[in-house]
Amino acid sequence: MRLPAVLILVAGLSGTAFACGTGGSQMVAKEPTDLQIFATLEPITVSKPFGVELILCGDASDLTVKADAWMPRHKHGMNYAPVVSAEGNGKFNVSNLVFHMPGLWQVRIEVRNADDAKPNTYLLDVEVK
Amino acid sequence: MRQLLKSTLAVCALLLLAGLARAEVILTPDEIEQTLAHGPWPAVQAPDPSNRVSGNQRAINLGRRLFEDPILSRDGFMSCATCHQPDQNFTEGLPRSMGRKLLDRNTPALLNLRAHRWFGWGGDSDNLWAQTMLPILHPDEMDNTADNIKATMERGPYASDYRLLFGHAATQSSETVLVNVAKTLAAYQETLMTGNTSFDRFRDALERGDALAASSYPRSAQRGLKLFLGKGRCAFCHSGPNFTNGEFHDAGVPYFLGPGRVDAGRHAGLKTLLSSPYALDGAFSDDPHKSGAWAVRSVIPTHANFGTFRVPSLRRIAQTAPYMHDGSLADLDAVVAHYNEINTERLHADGEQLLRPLNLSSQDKEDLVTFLKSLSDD
Ligand code: HEC
Ligand code: HEC
Repeated sequence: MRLPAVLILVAGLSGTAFACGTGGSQMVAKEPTDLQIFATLEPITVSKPFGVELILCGDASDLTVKADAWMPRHKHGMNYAPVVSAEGNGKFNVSNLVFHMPGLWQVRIEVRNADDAKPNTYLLDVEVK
Repeated sequence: MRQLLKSTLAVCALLLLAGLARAEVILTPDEIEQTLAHGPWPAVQAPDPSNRVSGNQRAINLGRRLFEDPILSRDGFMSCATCHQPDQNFTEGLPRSMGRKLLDRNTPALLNLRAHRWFGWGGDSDNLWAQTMLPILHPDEMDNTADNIKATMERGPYASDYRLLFGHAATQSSETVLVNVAKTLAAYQETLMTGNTSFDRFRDALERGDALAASSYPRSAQRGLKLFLGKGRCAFCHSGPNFTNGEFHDAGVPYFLGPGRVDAGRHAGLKTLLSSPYALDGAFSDDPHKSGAWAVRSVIPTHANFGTFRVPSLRRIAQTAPYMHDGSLADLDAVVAHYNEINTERLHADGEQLLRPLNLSSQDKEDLVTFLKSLSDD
């Protein structure tokens, strides 16, 4: 009974409340960086909205996160703008992603630092049946 | 003589068996997986939360009577059924619709409407009752007004039905009465659905792993399905159980209407949608959670919308000719020929690169048409 409470406390102290790297797929950063992103996607059905949970591992304070997706082979993106909400402690929820075709999609997460205007982009390839 | 007959029979039986063994499933595992995504069908249909009389039997009955009654037009000139003819799968059978004058677009079938996110060729509406109000008010169609509709519901033959569903029309604004009438028409239209097809039985047999049942789906239809999923690239747009992704694309159909006039398709539809008080984020939706409103709130208008049209469903497609937003293709052979010889210069949407000439043999074309025909109830 006491173990979970201890774990939560430790996580709370470390600044990122979630066990980094134990869940989700690691996204590939375009520029080398210490900040890692792990994405957990809801099951995807063509043309139906779905969500993604992002866990940012590293110093995730004062970051702005934007989400987008793209079909590299067809050279088009989505028809709807996804919504990103910051849940605190490095966790972000992205909702209203809609992949309107089967095939290869690339999820793109843009992370912008408060004092550094230059964003970094993280990519994840997803094959939709 | 008898001996000869016996051995002939034996040979026949052998040939029959060999025939059965040859009637097999010719899809690859990958194609089988893609095929499963086009079902199951019929889809389970939940009531429309934005319409409080969706699924209500009294509303459905009233909606059916109103649909066929010219009383909803200004001068009794036409009803919904004048264009959406019930014995023609709710199409008109003409290339372009004949209203008070020749309209620019083809009258689409009214089938499986709950499956759609957007309505009309350009997606003018995000719900069925809002789409239903457009022809009632349009000057080239029923040309009526909300005030007239209210007067009809106060005193006309439908007054008591209306009152039982919504209360006294006299105590409500004209706009509210019009919306309520549209909601009963929507309740009726939602019941217009297509049934089980030989394609669905094939797909369900594949899902069960029942190779014997699956093998009764004709070879030619299976070859057509392979083309649909593979070389033809059809399933990129005509995806899912309803064979549409519900979005807007350029299929290479010309959108010039005459000197200086174009049909802007989704571009115009989005303008109508975004200025409509009847969208799912508005006050006329009965859904307290506004559950479908995310789409109108987050849809991105882009210049690539120009001249794109909603991808039509292909269910019961063999019975809803002519085809395309302008009805310019008379039959399925013409549609397949259109995709086969597509004029890529006509494709304006930048770089979608999905459509290109297919180089199909005449056997391929026949197979693709056989497959499309297997999407009708049988
Ligand atoms: C003059 C002929 C005509 C009349 C009358 C008419 N319609 Fe239509 N209907 C059309 C045409 C043409 C379209 C395509 C409109 C567009 O894309 O802009 C259409 C589209 C629709 C759609 C969209 C279907 C889809 O798949 O998105 C619905 C729903 C509909 N009509 C219902 C009705 C109802 C209900 C009535 C009566 C209140 C009615 N229509 C009266 C010609 C007509
Ligand atoms: C890029 C997306 C896309 C692809 C790929 C595509 N279609 Fe279509 N299809 C559409 C759109 C959009 C329309 C309506 C076009 C219009 O009216 O201008 C349409 C219309 C049709 C229609 C007529 C439906 C009706 O009710 O009028 C048929 C049949 C059809 N397609 C079959 C096919 C077949 C078969 C293939 C493959 C060879 C295919 N489509 C590939 C988007 C696509």
